[in-house]
Amino acid sequence: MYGQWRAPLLRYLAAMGLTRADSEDVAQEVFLALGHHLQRDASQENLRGWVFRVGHNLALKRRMQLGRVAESIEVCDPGPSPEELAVLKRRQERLQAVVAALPERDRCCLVLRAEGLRYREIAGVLEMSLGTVASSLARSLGKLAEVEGR
Amino acid sequence: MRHLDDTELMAVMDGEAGAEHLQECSACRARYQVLERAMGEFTAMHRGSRIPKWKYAAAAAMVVVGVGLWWSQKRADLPNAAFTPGATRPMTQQQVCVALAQDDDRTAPREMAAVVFARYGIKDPKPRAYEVDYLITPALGGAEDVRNLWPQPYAGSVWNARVKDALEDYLRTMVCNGRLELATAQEEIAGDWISAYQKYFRTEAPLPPHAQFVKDRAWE
Repeated sequence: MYGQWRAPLLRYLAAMGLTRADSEDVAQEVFLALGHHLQRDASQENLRGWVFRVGHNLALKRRMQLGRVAESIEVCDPGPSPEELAVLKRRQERLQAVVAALPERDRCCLVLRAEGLRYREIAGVLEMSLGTVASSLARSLGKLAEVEGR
Repeated sequence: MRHLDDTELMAVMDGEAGAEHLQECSACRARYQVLERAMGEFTAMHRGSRIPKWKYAAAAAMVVVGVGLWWSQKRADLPNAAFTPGATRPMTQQQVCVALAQDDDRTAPREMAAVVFARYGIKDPKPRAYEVDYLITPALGGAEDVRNLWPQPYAGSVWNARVKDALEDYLRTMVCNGRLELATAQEEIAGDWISAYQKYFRTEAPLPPHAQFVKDRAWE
């Protein structure tokens, strides 16, 4: 489980604005809590949703404690040639700007979806209805689809 | 004909609503593909992977509109993680060993295959061109779920469906013999089955017996 969910959880925490170090700390807390959760013979249904839900709540708590968020999400190195890299970097920056301007709940929905969670799982993590998840994603993807430069 | 709004299209994308309307409505299908492409692009960016190669080939994409996203991925032999991240059902190691007969029937239900083609934007798939394959095979706990299905080229590609079948059989034997955790097998095959094949068979290219191996029924 640790190997399977650690990287997705770290990406989600980074998308919530935590620094890499804070994300590592929170992820460690999540998996410690998961160990305790399993030792208590608690429900093992949808453990992936459980991991993201606990991570989400701990990230909110950590942000309140620190009173800061990472300035931006790191843009990955996207392409093999300098020209393609420049074009793609500009496009990624535009996309990142759109994502950064989304309401936090919409951004969380989008990132959880990108991590492969189904709507029902996202609804569980963020405590919202299935319809709200679908409409949130529709809004976000509609905005991303309008970004020029493809 | 009333068109589906974006929220309704998103429900189709996750399998929460049927895709029948998309078969009939080209406008909705086009909008659906726009939203799916946006999701795929964001997923690639978020996960820090390289942008799919279709972005470099906008002109070529004009020719292959219906097939665009799938064909133009950097590694067309892997499914698009945004559409097919894999899905599992509860299964124990013992069940992997005893439930082989029923789970070895790997043909996806026809109506579900149609949804998969729609999700990948493939119109009128050519006969015997694809196997609508389970990313995580049911014999290894893969779920009958559109998020665990993808249109894999049956032939004409080095890393085709036949090669993947050989990997699945090998992993299933490993799990059944207790030499590999079921969760690990599921993760490896869902993450990058080609790398898993190269790792377990210690080869860069498919072994000749596997490349010639014919097992599943292609899409007809």
